[in-house]
Amino acid sequence: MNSKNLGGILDKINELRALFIFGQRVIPFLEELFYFVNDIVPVLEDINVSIYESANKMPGASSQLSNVTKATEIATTEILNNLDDLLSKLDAMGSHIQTAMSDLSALEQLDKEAFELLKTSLKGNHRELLSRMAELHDSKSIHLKALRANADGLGGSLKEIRTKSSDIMISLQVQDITSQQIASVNHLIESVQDRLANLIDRFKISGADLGSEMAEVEHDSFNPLASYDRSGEGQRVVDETVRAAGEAKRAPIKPGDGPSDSASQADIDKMFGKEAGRR
Amino acid sequence: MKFLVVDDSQTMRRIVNNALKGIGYDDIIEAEDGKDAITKLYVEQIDFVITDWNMPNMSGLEFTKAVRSDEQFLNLPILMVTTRGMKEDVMEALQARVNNYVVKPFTPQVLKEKIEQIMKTV
Repeated sequence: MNSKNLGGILDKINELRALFIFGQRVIPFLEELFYFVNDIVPVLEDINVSIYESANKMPGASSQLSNVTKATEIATTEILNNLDDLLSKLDAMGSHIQTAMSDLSALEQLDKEAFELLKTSLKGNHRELLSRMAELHDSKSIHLKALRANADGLGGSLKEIRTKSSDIMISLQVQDITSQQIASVNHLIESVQDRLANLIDRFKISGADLGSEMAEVEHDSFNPLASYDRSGEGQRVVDETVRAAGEAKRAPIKPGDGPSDSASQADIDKMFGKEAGRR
Repeated sequence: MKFLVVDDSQTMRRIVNNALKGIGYDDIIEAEDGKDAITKLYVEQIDFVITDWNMPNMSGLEFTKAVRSDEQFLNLPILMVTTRGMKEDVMEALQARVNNYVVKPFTPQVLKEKIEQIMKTV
């Protein structure tokens, strides 16, 4: 064994020494890592269980939301039934008032005729009686006038009730709008549940079963941006767009502009440019 | 004039129905979606269609395109009544060849105006 070989052995021993020193330094860290993993495993299991439980609750939440839609639809139908009933009764009342008014006019006319007949028959005699009768007739006319004024007032009130009932009917469109918003939320829940199901599948939680399937919400059956706005602004934008489209359609057609009975995409792009933002 | 009201919401069908009756149109039939509407269109003599956009099975837009693809319905008045109020939506509906467009919530007055406007042009 020469000095070169010995030098090599010493080098190896030094390397081993360095390794042991490194090992000594690393061991406490490895121990810490071991304890950390020991601690984190139950936490991860808890998270898995939470994910599983949350995913399992989603079909229930979704079904509850669907029940809300059904309940509001039933309630709205009941309100509409009552409104219909109310409106038909209002119509009947209006027509009764009209009939009563024309009956009163007929009575007034009959009174007048009777008085004239009496006057003619008495041939100028019984002036006092005739004068008293004329007074009574005038007094009756005042009452009839008041009655007519009241009937007119009643008619006005009926008209107002009809307008208010019509307003309620317009407001009930909120049921359709909210049901679309609920359908949109249901769609969102469905997507989250799908993601959670994938996670559960990846974590392979033992015995995990997502139970009841969610009813699939068809995406085209609702408008996620549906909103209840009675300001008329929405209709104004629509009318403007329809008008602009009509004008674009009437504009002279250049070669390659597409069929004349529909606005081309180029027309649409030109018309709205970049301002076609979402409300 | 016979109306076909197409909407998946019972509430909306009822409201449109009532509004039409208030305006003076009494001859109305209803359909729950585009498919149902197409069936009724071939069975009944319909003069005017009022359709929603967002519906299951067949949307109002698909329904309009299907209707317009049949020559006999090229001039059938179609009014879209929907919650979709963006310009792009209106343009898409016009491209599918609806005659006019009403955004929900609507008033009977607006419905009347649009029907009259359409009837003047067809």
